[in-house]
Amino acid sequence: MRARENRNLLLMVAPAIAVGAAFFLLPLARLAVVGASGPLGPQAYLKVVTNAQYFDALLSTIVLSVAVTATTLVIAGIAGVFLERNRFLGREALLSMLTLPLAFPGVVVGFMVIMLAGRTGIAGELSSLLGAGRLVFAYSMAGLFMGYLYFSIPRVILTIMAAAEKLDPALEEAARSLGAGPWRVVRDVILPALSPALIASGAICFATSMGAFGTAFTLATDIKVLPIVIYTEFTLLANIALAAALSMVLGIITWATLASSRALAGTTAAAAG
Amino acid sequence: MGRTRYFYLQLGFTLLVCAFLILPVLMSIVAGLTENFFVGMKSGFTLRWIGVVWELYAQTILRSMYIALATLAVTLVLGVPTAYVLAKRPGLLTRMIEEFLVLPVAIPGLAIALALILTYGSFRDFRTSWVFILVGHARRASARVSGDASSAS
Repeated sequence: MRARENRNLLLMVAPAIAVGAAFFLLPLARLAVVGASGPLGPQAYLKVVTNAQYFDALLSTIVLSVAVTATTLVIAGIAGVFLERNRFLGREALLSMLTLPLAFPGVVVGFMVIMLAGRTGIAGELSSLLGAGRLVFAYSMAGLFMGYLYFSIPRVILTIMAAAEKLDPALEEAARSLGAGPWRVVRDVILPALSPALIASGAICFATSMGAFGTAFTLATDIKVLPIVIYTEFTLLANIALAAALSMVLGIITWATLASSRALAGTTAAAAG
Repeated sequence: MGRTRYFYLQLGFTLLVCAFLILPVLMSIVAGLTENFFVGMKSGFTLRWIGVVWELYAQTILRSMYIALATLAVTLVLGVPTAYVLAKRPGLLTRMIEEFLVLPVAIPGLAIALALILTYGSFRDFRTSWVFILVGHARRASARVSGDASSAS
């Protein structure tokens, strides 16, 4: 009886495993092999560090992703705890507007940044009203930063809200009755309790920013972030081995980030993009 | 219950965040309905552009929708039975299977796309067909569904 059930269960997972092997494991192994098959051999992997151009791209992608993650955690942390703690008229509407961008693909996010900071964008209108000239930064690192914030904030707000729901108000009461001010309560009670959610959603945010292609492709025609460099090497320069090696490095970075956050915070995490 | 100063500060902050997310959406809706985007709203409103878009891109839009629906179908067929098994038999083996199946979620789509092209790109008919795009999407989407469903159950 048990053996038959086991066989049936095995039959149910078999297709997913087969597809996983054929369309993920095998291609990834091929990517690793191709990465080492260029004129440089396995040393292509070292190029990421030794070649100034690729190393710069790697570094600026990491700096951008860290900046986006830190800013997103602060913004979404404040808004998320606020929305979870308070009930007021229009809260539902506010929440649905804040989570609307979850459904947007990267290219659409790029377009939204053009609306904000492009040649006819809101930032330009405001700055020329103030007499500071037309402010246009959609196609710069600042534009990328805004775009990545745009798709990160909604995700992180949802995670923070779910975590804030489980906070015990009695602990804050206790802290307050012992004479702690609001900042003290935030620092010593709320932040430690939220830290698993902050670590998990921060890791997702970082990994997503590292690999984001759609938004970067819309805005960053000549900003060197790693996904754009990979695309250029592969499609325009036909530098296939190098593109494969860079992709492997990118994949290892995002995987390692998510795996270590899971070890730290004990929750499942996912990157997108 | 009286609202404190902190309530209004946080509300104001949250409204600003909301403006950052929603204003560009409203602007692009207005831009889509404006007669001449470069002249601005005073040029009047029209539904003409929606017709133009449909005329030019109907094929593309429909193809995107087919791919999305087919991805959903493949994902459900592969993901739901898997999630059932993972939830029914929690153990070392199923844990390892789960790890393996959700791995694609941690790898950027760009790297997976490149890997798929390098592996199957030489089969020309496959490479140029929409099924190729489907495989790429389904691989990541079904990893997501198995992960979500098994953690939900």
